[in-house]
Amino acid sequence: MTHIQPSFIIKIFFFILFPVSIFISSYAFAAITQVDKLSFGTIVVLDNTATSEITVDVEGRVILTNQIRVIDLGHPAYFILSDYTIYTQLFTVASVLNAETASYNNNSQQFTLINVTTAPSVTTNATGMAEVIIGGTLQTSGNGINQYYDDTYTATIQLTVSY
Amino acid sequence: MNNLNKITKVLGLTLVLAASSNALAATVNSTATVEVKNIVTLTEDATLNFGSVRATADDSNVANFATLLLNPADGTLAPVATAVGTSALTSLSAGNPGTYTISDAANFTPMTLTLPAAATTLIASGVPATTPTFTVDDWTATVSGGPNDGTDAETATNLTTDATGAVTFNVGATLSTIKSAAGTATAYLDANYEGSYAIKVEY
Repeated sequence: MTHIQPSFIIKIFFFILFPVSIFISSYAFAAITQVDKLSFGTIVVLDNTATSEITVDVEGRVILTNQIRVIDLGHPAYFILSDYTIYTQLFTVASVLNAETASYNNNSQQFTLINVTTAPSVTTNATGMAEVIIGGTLQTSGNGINQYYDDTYTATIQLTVSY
Repeated sequence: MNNLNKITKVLGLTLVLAASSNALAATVNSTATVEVKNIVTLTEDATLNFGSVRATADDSNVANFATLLLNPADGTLAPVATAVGTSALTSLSAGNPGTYTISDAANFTPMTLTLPAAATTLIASGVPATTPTFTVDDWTATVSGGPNDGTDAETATNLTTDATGAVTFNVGATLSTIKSAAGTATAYLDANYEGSYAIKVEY
C-alpha cells in the first residue's frame, strides 16, 4: 500500500499544467478577420431551362456557363489570420454549410453553392499573419422555371484553420 | 507508486486532448451572396417629336390621308406617299426621333426590343370634338452608337449592350392625317397633338 503525499500530487499537477497552459496561451489570441465576403456580384439569369454556373475563383476571375450574365463583378472571400505563431504552416479548409441559397422572396428559384475552394494551407509571415482566399461556384436550378426574381441570394460557408 | 503513475498518465492524456481540441483549430462562418437583377433600366432621353407641320384633313374616305415618315436614324421627315384627296401634311420644322437608353444590363448581351404593334392616336387637349386627330404607326427603331450604329434595332443581335451594360436606340414612326370616313372633321387647329405608346426591352 503506497501512500501518496498531497503535496506531491500538487507538484505533479503544476509541472504538467504549466507547460500546457503556456502552449494554449500562445494561440489564445489568434484571430480570423473577415475582410470580404464571397460575392458573385450582380447577375442576370437569361434562361433556366438548363443549369448555368458562375464561378469566382481564388484569383478573382469570373467564369460563366450557359445563361448567366454579369452586371457587376463579384470577388472571392478574403480573411486575415493574425496573431499566430510566426512562419508556421496553417491548414485551411473551406466548406459549404448551407448549399441552397435563401432569398427574401420565397417564391423565387434558388441557387446551389456547389463548391468552395481555397488553398489547403497558408504560412504565417514574420508578424504571425496570413491571408486566406475562398472562391466558389454557384449553380442555377435549371428546372425550366424562369423565376429568379430580382433579389439577394445568400448561402453559408465555413472556414476552419488548424495547425 | 503505481497509482501515481496512472494518475499522471490519465491526467496528461486528458490535458493533451483538451489542448488539441480547443487551441489547434479555429472556425468561422461567413456568407456567399449573389444579387439577381433581371430587370433592366430603360430611360427616355428624348420624346418622339414630328416637329411642326401643316396639316389638312380629309375624312370623306378612310383612304384619304397624307403621311410623313420620321427616320429613326437621322430624324429626317419625308412623305411616304402622295397625299390622297384633299389631305395634306407638310413639315415646317424639324422633329427628332424618340431616343432611349438601356442601362444596368449585362454587358455584351443582346436585348430584344418590342415596338408597338398598333397605331396610336394624337389628340389636342381641350379642343372641339370635331377637331381631327393624327395617327402614328409603322414603328421602326435603329441602334444609336457603337459597332451596330444605324442598324435595325429589332433584328437579331443588333441591339447589344456595350461593356458598361448600356445601349441606345432611336424610335421613328409614320405620322398620318386622320383616317376616317366620318365626314365631320373640321380643320386642324394650331395646337400640340399628343399621344402615348409603349415599347418593351428584355433579354
